[in-house]
Amino acid sequence: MGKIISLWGLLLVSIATSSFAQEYPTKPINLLIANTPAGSVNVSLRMLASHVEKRLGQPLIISNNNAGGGSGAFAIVAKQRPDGYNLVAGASTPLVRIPQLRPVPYKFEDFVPILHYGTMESGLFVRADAPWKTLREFVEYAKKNPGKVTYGVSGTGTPQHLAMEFISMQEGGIQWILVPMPGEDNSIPLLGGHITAASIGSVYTHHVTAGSLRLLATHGERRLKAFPEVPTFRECGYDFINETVMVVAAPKGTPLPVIQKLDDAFHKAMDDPEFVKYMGTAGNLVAYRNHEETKKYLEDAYVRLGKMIKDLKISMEPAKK
Amino acid sequence: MKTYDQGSSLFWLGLSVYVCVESLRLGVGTLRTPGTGFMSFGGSILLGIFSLALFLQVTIKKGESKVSPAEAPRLWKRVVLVLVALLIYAKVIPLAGYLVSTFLLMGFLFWTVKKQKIWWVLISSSLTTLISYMVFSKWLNCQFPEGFFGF
Amino acid sequence: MGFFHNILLGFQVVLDPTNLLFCFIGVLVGTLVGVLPGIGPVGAIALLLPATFKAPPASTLIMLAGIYYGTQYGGSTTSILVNIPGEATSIITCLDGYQMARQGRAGPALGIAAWGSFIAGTLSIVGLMFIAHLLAGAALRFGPPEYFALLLTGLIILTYLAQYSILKALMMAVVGLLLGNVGLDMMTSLPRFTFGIDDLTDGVNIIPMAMGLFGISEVLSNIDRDLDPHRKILETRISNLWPSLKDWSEAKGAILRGTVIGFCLGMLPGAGAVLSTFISYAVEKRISKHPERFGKGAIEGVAAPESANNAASGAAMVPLLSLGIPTNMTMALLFAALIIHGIQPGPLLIKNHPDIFWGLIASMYLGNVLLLILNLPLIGIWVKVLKVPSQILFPLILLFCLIGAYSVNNSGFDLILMTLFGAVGYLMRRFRYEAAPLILAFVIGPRLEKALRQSLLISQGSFTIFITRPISGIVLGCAFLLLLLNLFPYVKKRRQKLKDVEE
Repeated sequence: MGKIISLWGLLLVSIATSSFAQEYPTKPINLLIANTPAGSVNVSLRMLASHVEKRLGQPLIISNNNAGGGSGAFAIVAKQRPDGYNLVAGASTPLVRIPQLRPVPYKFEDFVPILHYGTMESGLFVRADAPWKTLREFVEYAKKNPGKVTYGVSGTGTPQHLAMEFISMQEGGIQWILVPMPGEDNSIPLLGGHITAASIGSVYTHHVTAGSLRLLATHGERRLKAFPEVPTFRECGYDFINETVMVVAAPKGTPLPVIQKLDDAFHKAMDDPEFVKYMGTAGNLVAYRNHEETKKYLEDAYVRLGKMIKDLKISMEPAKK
Repeated sequence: MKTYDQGSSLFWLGLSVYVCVESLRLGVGTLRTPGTGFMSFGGSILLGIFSLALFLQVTIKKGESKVSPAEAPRLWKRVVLVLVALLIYAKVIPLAGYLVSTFLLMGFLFWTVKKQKIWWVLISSSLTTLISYMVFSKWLNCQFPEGFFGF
Repeated sequence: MGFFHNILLGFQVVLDPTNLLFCFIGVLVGTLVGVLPGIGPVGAIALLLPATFKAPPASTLIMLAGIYYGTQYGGSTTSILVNIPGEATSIITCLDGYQMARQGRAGPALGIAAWGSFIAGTLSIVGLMFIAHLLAGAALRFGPPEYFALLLTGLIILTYLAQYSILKALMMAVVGLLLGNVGLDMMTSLPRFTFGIDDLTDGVNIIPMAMGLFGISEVLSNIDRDLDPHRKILETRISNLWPSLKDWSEAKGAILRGTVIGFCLGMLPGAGAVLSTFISYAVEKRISKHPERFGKGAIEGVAAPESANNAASGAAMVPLLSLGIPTNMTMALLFAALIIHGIQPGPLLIKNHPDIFWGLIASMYLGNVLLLILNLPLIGIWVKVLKVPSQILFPLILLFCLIGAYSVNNSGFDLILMTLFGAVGYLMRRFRYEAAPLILAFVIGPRLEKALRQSLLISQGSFTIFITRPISGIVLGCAFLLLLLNLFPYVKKRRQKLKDVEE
């Protein structure tokens, strides 16, 4: 008797989950974006969202939460039901980097990635009238002039900050000064000449196009399309990449068929020419990895970052170095 | 007013001591390399000095100050009640949802602020709740929580 | 001259029906957003940004800009009527605006605010047209040390706002600074003073704080006694609806000075607009022949900050349009809007897209006119709000505050925070501590700290950086002078007292 019940039970459950997956989505899906409304992550996601909605046949209810550099949004979604109706999207920073730098109320393992659709590019910028035309020249200058070079980053512990620390470590220690510049007015210190250089996100590239800044090198895996003559760090001899990608994720436990459906929907949405054009203008690269590959990529990045943070002894107290 | 000022300045003094200790724990750094607790350390020192100055100024000065305190509140209990009601509202709203919580809160407020007939209270609070819901949630798309009851 | 050609081009762009419509929608939404608590221009623009993806670039900018400067019109409404600032830039307006409302002069207050906003807004566009390219470079010269000097001066000026005891105002300013420290340390990203509460990771949010300190405490202060059934917020009858000639003669100087101050400071990054509101207020108070009127319903106290914040919003566009540098969050959104439409912001914007630049300028003229037309008739309606009997009005104000605070982050914690500040605000009133210095210091504090720490990092610990750089040196010198000037009357008084004693 018990056997029959359990067999029926199993049958019912499998029918239920598969039909659930087939019918998914049956109601609007919540998407929480862990990024500021002015950011490229937010804009690009909303562009994708309009296509995803059409494909899935259900509206996406989008909201933003930028608390704690994105960690707030991830914290919220980590606790939500893994039924496929609660998604979080943003840079991979809160997943991969922030938990290793300060305590947050969630873990990397609380999430299952669905895909990543782009990379967040960054690079080292100096003013256009600066004497250094290559990264090598700049680094040489910094080595010979300890204490004279100041570089800005948008925050401590960011990949851009780590990039500079990496160079310093590889070159046997360079005495340059880190100046954190949080806030949306952070282009002024460099443009105004108050700091020597900025290791910062690609949104500054429009100043390069306008002729006020020069991009010495980028932190990505590939060169930027808009600046094919600018080498990457790897090409300059520093094996460092900014691993931050733009990712969509769901709480752990979301059923696989649901993940695949979402993955597929977002992937097809990436074909939108407006999306591609925007990513280019905003200085980011379109890049896709599906949910399995993204998971592996992020796990690798997590480990690599952890090691780097330890090696570079990134303590969150810049003054204590 | 004198005792008011003395009491309040002592309160601020105590607060400044707490903040000072906490800032030291966070690390003040040096004047040349300010640490995390630098501003709060400086601020707490300033607050301490000012509070002490206020205390002394009030205590030493002879005669009453020119500024009189506000009228004595005879209904301070009502103030406390309203505050407690607001706190309860904050806690209850994720559970019971906007409509129910607001209805209850408005009912309470209308009744407390000035005793009215019960039916008046009920009508006003339902009206207010519904209208505000319409305006803010439907029209302006604010996101109000849905409660336990699904609305 | 090329100029007239450009301006004609601009008006051509604006008179296109789509752009007209977008302009109107923008200023309408802006006014609404300014009046409503909680949601501000940042929130509104962020919400509407996706809707603009498919719209033409000029229309998008026209609408979004309209929201921005429109907010500065509506923000004063709640400040004047119920003592609740809708925006950080409307906090100062509460001081005299609300008092005017209580004296039955809400109409003139709202009127002068609207007119002041219009004049300042229009003049700032003129400035934008002619001297944008000249002044844009000025924004760049403000690095961390200059900014620190400016903010420090602002803090010192805050003490001029004190109505009662300067000592208490200073204390409240320090408390505001301390409150600004709650959250993640901006340089190390480590939490401080958060007591382990996740909701405090980004610090105390200004909206629940303002709602609590001003709105809730105001209601509480009114209900702690028996309510006279005929007592309303008004203490006297409502006099006329429009500012009188006397009002105008008093306010005209304030409007012009407020405009200049707002325009100069609005170009600077960060809190330029807020700074300009209370600096203009302090200036008016200082040069007035009867400074004791301030805080009790002086019309200059409304005219100056309202003009300043509108001028500042126009000026904020200068760095964005001429150099491609956003100086605050709203500008960052406009910047994003430009990028979305494939337009590269930067020094070449004006040259490459004259239709956008001049169209925007023309739309701002039009927008200000529209706003004036929209806001003036509304005054009659707003004033009626004050006639609502208090037993209905006060609970409604509480609800208004609750919704406003909740809508920022959908957080119940913010409501608790607001209530706590309401309690604190109430106690502060009873003990005669002022809330304005606290909240303004709270806005300035984090930026001050950031500027200080950045400066010291750049100079490697040397304080001389503040003095050797010309701009920062001059500003600091002025700050020092101001401080001395403030103490001067005390010194004089002591001397006088001593003299009297001797005789």
